[in-house]
Formats: sequence, C-alpha cells, structure tokens
Amino acid sequence: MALSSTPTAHLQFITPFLALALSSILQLFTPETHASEPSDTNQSWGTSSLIAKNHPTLGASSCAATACHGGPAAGVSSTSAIRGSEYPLWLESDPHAKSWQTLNSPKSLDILRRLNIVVDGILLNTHAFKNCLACHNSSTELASNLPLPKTPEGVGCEACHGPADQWNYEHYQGPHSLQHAIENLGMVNTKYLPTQAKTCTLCHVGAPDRDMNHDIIAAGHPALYFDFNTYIQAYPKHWRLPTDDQSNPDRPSQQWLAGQLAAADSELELLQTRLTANHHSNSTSSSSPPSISNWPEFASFQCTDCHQPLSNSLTTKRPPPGQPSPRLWNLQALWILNLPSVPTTLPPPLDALSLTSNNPRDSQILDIQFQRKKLYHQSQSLFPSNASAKWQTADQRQYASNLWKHLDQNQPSPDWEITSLAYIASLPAFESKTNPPNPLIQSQLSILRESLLFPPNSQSPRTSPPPRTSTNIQWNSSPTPLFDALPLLDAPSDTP
Amino acid sequence: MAHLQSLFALLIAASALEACLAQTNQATSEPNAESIGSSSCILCHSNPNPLASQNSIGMQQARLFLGLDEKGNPIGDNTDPHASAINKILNANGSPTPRTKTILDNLNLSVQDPQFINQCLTCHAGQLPIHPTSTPQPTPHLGRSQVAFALDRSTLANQSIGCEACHGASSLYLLPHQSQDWLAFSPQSKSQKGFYDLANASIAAQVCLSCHLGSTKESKSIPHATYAAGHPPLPPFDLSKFLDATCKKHWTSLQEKSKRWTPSPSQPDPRKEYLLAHFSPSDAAPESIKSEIANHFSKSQKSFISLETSFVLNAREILYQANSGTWGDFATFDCIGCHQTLYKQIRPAIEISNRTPGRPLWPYWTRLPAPSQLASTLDQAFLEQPFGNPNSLSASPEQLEQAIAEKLSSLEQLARAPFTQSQAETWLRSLLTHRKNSIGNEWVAKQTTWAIEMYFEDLTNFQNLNPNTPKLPPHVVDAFLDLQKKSPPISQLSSCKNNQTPDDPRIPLNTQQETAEFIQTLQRFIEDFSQN
Repeated sequence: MALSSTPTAHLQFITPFLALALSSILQLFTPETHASEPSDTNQSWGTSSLIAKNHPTLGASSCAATACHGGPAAGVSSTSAIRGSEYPLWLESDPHAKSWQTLNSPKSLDILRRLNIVVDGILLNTHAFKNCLACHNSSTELASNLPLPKTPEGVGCEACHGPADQWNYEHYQGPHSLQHAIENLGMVNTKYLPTQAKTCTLCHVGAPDRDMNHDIIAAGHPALYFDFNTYIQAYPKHWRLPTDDQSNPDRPSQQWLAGQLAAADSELELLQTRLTANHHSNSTSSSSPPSISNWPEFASFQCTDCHQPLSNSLTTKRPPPGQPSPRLWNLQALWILNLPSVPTTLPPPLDALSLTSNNPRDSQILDIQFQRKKLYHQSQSLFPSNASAKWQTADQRQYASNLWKHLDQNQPSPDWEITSLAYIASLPAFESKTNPPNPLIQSQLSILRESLLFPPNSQSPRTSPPPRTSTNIQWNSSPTPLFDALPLLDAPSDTP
Repeated sequence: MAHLQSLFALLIAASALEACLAQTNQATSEPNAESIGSSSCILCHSNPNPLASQNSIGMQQARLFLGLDEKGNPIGDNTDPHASAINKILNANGSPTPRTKTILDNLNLSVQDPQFINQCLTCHAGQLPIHPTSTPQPTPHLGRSQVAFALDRSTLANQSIGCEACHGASSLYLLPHQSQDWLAFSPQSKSQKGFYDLANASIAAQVCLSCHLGSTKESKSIPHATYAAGHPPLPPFDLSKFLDATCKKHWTSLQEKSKRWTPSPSQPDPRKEYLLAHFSPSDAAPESIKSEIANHFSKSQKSFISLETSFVLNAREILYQANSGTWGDFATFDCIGCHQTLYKQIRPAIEISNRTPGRPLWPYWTRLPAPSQLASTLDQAFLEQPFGNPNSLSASPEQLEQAIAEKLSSLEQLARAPFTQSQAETWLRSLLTHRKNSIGNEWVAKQTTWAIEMYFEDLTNFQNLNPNTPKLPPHVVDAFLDLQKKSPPISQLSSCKNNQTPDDPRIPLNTQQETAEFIQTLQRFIEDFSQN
C-alpha cells in the first residue's frame, strides 16, 4: 500500500500487542483517581454533563432568592460580600439567558423544519431535538410530546455550574461547604481556568451529547468559531475576579491558553465520538455515545478544503491530493504542545484521517485518546490548582512569533482560518498591562483585523487570502525556559 | 504507398497474433472483436479523391479527423480535439507535458507505471487498459490493444485517440465493411461484428460518455485525487452541442445523407434501407422520408437522448461503485455540491422531500425532469448518511441493472423515432421548469444552455422550411441572443480552437462575476421563454 510508505501512517499498522503496550503506557500517565474510567476524561476537567446527569436541574429561579443570587450587586450591601446580583445580571445582560428565544426564532424554526426535527409545532425527532436543547436550554427534559422543555429558561445557572439537586442546599452551609459541594457533590469549579474554559467548549465546540454537525450548518446554523479569551473578555460577567487575577498581567495569555487546551480536548472528544458512531445502531443503547453524527462527518474537516470554487488554484498541497484535512480551528493546542517549533501538520494519524473510511482504524482512536491525555497533562502542569499558572505573556509572544514565522515560510497565501488563529494568538501577547500599547503594533493588528472581518450580510469568512502584515510586527521575544520544562509525552511509536 | 501497404501487412499480422493470444478469455455475449489499430483505417479513409464515395466528404474521414492536408501534412488549428488528446499529456518524445508532470508528481506516479495506461491513456489515447490481475475485466471493444497502440504511435495516427475507441474493435468488420452492401447491413448485424452504430444518438452517447462521464468498470474514471492533483474539471456532456461544435466533422448528418439520396424505385436501394434503419417515418414513401427527416428536430433529440443516457450511465456507474467496493470517491458527487464558496447565499437546491441539507448528491446535470424510481433510489442512497450509503444500493443490484438495461434499450428505440417541433418544445419546457430551481449550479446552467441552443438551431431550420410557422416574440429571441453572449463558449470546454498551451494551469473557467451574470441571464431567458 502506498500509504504505508508515508511517515503519516506509522500508527495505522500497529499490532494488537503494541496497542496493548501503548494503552498500558497511557495508564501510567493517567492520574490514579481517574484510572478506573479512562473513557470519561470530562470528569478530570471538572465539568458536568447535563444530559448524562443523574440528578435533575432545578432551574435558575431556584438560585434567584434576594438573599442569595437575586440581590444587589456584591459589594453594595456589604463590602465583603462575594455574591449578589448574579441572577438579574444573567437575566438582563447575558446572551445565554436568551438562547431559548434564539431556538424559537423564525430562523431556528426554519432550521428545525429543514432537518425534520420540529415541523409545524410537532416534534418529529426527539433525539435530534434534545441535541439542540443541550446547548440552547439548561434542561433537556420535555414537558410533553411538544417541543417544550420542562424549564424553558435558556442556558441557566446549572448549565455551567452543574445540576444543583445535590448541592443546592449544601453549598451555603458554612465556610467549607462550597469546597465540599465542588469536591463531592458535583458542583463545577468554574474558578479554575481550565475547568471554566472546558465548560464553555462543551457547547461552543461540542461534546458527544451536543453535536453541531454539518447537517445542521447546512440547514442554516452558523458554524462555530469559538475563542475562549475573546469571548470571556466580551462577556457580561456576573462574578468578580480575585484581586490577584485582576492584577495579573499574564491573565489574557493564560485565558487564551486554557481556551486552546479545552477547545482541542472537546474537538478531539467530538471526533472520537463521530468516528465511533455506529450508523445504524439503536441510539438509545447506553454503550454507544448519543451522537447524531455518522462518519464521515464533514464538520470535522476544514471548511475551505471543500468549499472552494473549482477555478481556484490548489489551496492544499499536502498529500494525498484532494483529501480534506481535519478542521484546525480548535486543534491549535496540538501545536502548542510541540513548542518551540510549530509543526507543519497535525500529528500524523490525525492528519491521515480518511474521510471515506467507513471503518476507522482503531489506531486513530488510540491516537486521539493519547492526544487527549497529553492535553490533560499539559493543562494540569500549566495550571496547577494550588499555584499560579505558568504561562506568561513572553511565552505567548514566542508562540505567536513562531506561528507567524511558520506561516510566512510555509503558507504564502494562508486561508482565513489559519490567519485568524494567528491573529487571535497575537492579541494577548500585546494586551499585557505592564507593556504600554505600542501604536505601530496596534495599527498592524487592526489592519489585520479589518481584513479578517466577515463580508456584510454574511456569516462566513472571505475566501481570498488576507493581506500579510504580520511580518512587520516587532515581536521582541526572547526564548523562555518554559518550553523545555513542559512534561511532554513522547508520541507513541510502532517500533518496540 | 508501398511503404504503407507493408506497414498494413505488418499490422494485420501483429493484430492477428494478438487476437489469437487473447481469444481464450472472452466469454461475454458481445462479439469476439479485437482491435487492430488506426493505421489500417487511415489507409482507405484518407483518400482525397471526391469520386471515391457518394458521400459529401468522400473517403476523407481519417484525414479530416487528423487535421491533415491532402499530402498528409498537419493543417494546424481547428482539428478534432480527439486527434490531439494525447498531445495534452505527452510530448512527441513520450515525456510528460508540464501539466502531466505536475499531476503525476502529485500522485506519486510516473509514465512508466501501469496506472498511467490504466488511468490516463484509456481516455487520452483510446488504449485498452492493462489489468495485471484481470479484475474487473474491461470491455474489450472500445479502444486499442497495446500492440495496435504501439504501432499507431509510429504512424500518422500517433497523436490521436484511435478510430476504434469510438467505432469499435475492427477485426470482425474490417473486411465486410469494405463491401458494397455494407450500407444495407442492419445496425444490429453491424453491431454483431463489433461496429458501433454511432448514427444512433443513444449508442453514440454511450460511447462518448464512457470517457466524458467516466466508467470505473472500463478503467476510464477520473478519481478526485487526480482532479486535485491538477486535472481540469470534466464539464457536463451534451452530444448534440459537442458534435455541433466539432470544427472538422468527419461524418455527415442524417439530413445531409437524406438530401443526397436519389431514390431508385426499381433496384434495391441500400441508402433507403440505411435511412429507414436509423429513422422511422410515419410513411415510407421516399418524399415523406425526405420531408420528415428535413423537418426532424434532430439536434434537440440528440440533446434529449444524450441527457437521458447520461442519467442512466451515471446510475450504472454509481451502482457499479456500490457493488465493487470502489464507493467513496468524491468525484462520484456533484462537484458544486461541495465546491461552493461559503459566502454565497444558500443555493436553491433541487426540491427533494425530506432532504437533509448539506449532503452532496450525484451530479445535478445528469438529473432528468421526470421523476423515476431509479432516481429516487439513488437519492435515498446519497441522502441516508453524509457521503452516501452504498449498502442501500447493493441490496438488489440485478433489479436496478435490469431497469438500466431496459431504459437504454428504449432510448435506442427513441433515437430512431422522429422528434417533432411540439415534442422538442415540450421537452425543453419541462427541462427548463425543472431546472429553474437548480440553476445556481454552473454545470447545470451550461448544459441547459446547450440544450436551448440546439432547440433554437432546429427551430431556425424548421422555420426556414416552413415560412408560415408562427415566430417567437422578439423579446424571447433577444433573451436567447443575450444568453448566447454570456454563455461560456464551447472552446473553453473542449478545444475547438486548439490554441491553449499544454501547461495552462486549468482550462479557463469563467470568473465568478461572469458566471453570476451568465446564470442571471439564463434565469431571465427561462422566465421569458416559460411565459411565452
């Protein structure tokens, strides 16, 4: 076979023995507490899955008592108060509160009709509708055979903080009750940056029980382009950052990194689910993930690899010709892992994912699992739970600089996605409060931004390559020792 | 001449030897014909003497096809594009042209690889594929054997797709077709000797489409990887328009044959028999045969038959892929199903009930106005899951194959029936009504425009013969002329004006702006024509 001669396929012919050996190695790197459930790495990121929950949601109103989260802003009634007006803030300013309305807008109803999920107010596909609800509403429990959830409130408190049934009463019972609720009762520790980011990517990238696939995009849903740092900065926050974090000059870079790690984990998790989805199995079976996608799932691939006009010159020179590559947008963290050099492609088996294969090779799944372990260890190492994060603006600058250099050398006319990724990675490198803004750099970045904006009346990027201004940016970076210190796992090899 | 004759003898000997060697593994119901090569044809069919035949083009078919003057020297531009097909991929010394080199490099192949013969020369040189493992067995009747190809490479036919690539392997008809009574042979008996009845639009379309649509079974398909490696996109096919646009025609039409026919009531009349074998008039009296053929909407009929044949052969190709484990190539799908820019408005899609959006279908341009069981079976297979579900086509392949065979046989019958003005108009109206909703697909737009052009040519001819026919309103004629201006010339799709350098990056397609204008003009025309 031609493929076997390429370096991109070295994992595809792994023997069962090696697979076994490899999984043992993986176990070594798995934290003990999670060794018993290697398939659920969500648990280790500290998030809570709504659909798979064992406990019901109570609804946002259960948090809204005046004495609890429905009162005046924290600091108004008492300077030491750590809670206050979370509920009204969410209700009035948070777009998540309106997501149920979004799902009921004429545009959404068109999408539901095109997909034969809800037609003329009649629910035709409960499984697919719950997939929509999983992100557009806190509760996927339906009131009846109508497309109406029991608690139609949009994305409420419990969507991020976890179903409150077990800890609603417990979490305000004294000094250590909050800690107890987080450690033992399923409350989500949203103060820990990787957990916070992963909570967002569950919907904004996807998860096995919330899969926004190409069918839905083609029916009219906008494609997902999430960046945690960008979104969190624009977000109407219902919390106050601890003083340390407020004054932390590296916070934007750390948010960016946490977002990349979480997005990559979610993307890989989704890919794993899509690859293993059994096309014709009973979807209620507990052994198969509740995915609505079949493989090949177009949404796992680079949009513009297919969506290019026929008269275009080739945009992808990567062999094999005409084979789309996995979607990059959420997988940048796989590059960051390999710093200081930015590799030209994704890790080999991911790069070789065959769109046409109806029987994805086990080694690809194995590699995805391996990459997810790596991501998890990176996040643990870079964001220690009892110390400050290790990633600094200087690291961010070096990464962004490397990425631009790589693009300049290898992709003379990069597409919208990769240029946007580089632009977004560049922003936190210059946002640090300790470095006063450099007008030249600011103007370079703003030119770049203009070139990346979507055309008017469009929800899709331009296809023409944006102008290159990046090489003019003065990076001024000096290598940091961090890259050498990262606990990198060696890639699995097929030679014993 | 002596030189040619000795070459001819050599060819016959070589081909006979090869025929003997190959004879053992033929087990089909098809004739046992073997290819001999084009050189034996050129010997007779390049005779410049106009008295050599009653035909208007004399015995110069090969000379016209190859684009040679009477002394055998090339006359340059405007030859039949098939005569220089191999030029596009190989230089005179056998080395790859720059474009070929790019494609081969990207595919990690060289001209020495058997894949080069099996994937490139089968169409570009009309050569039979070589299958070391012999599965699947290719149809042995269209194309040259390796020996014939090698011999042709040293003769005048060196740059061309061989005669047998379209007319059929010649070992069985070579002698009979030189006799006087060949003209009176029925198409069926000619076909039994391996000679394809290209005067029948359905059979001609089947022959053309084996390359112009592709056939995996005959080793003539272009996989997506080859396109991505640099092969230009294969445009839609319309037999009528493509024949019409051929600059040096080496054939005469039924109309011309009928015009030149002088009926002779007393003696056996092979010309009459020939005409009646290809056209079934309502009355067999010579005058009504002549009149009906003259008024026949032959170009529209060819468009109609060729589109129907394209659909059926495409279905056969899809079925073959589903049952031979070759399913899963992007080239099976409509190009523009994926290759649409993201920022365009969502294109109007073909109306299919319960269609899941975002799942590409089979090529839109092969879609027929009338719904059929075969079409909905294909739709179902393509829409069941992203990238289609071949398993739903492999459940009852015999039934589907039988439906395909019946459809082809009925098309061959239809191609012999007269096509009246009202039939042509009715067909065009139904086509335009059906396509109004999918005109956002450039391929569909091009193919539709060709069908319209062919109808207008027939109509002009008809109106000249029948001056009292009501004329089309001027605004419809204007809309048509406007459409012709905006429509991409055929030269951009096949090279009638063969002035492209071999290393052109791509056959020039229109810019997006031009394409948008073209589609808008077509939409205006359809509106004007439909309201008329």
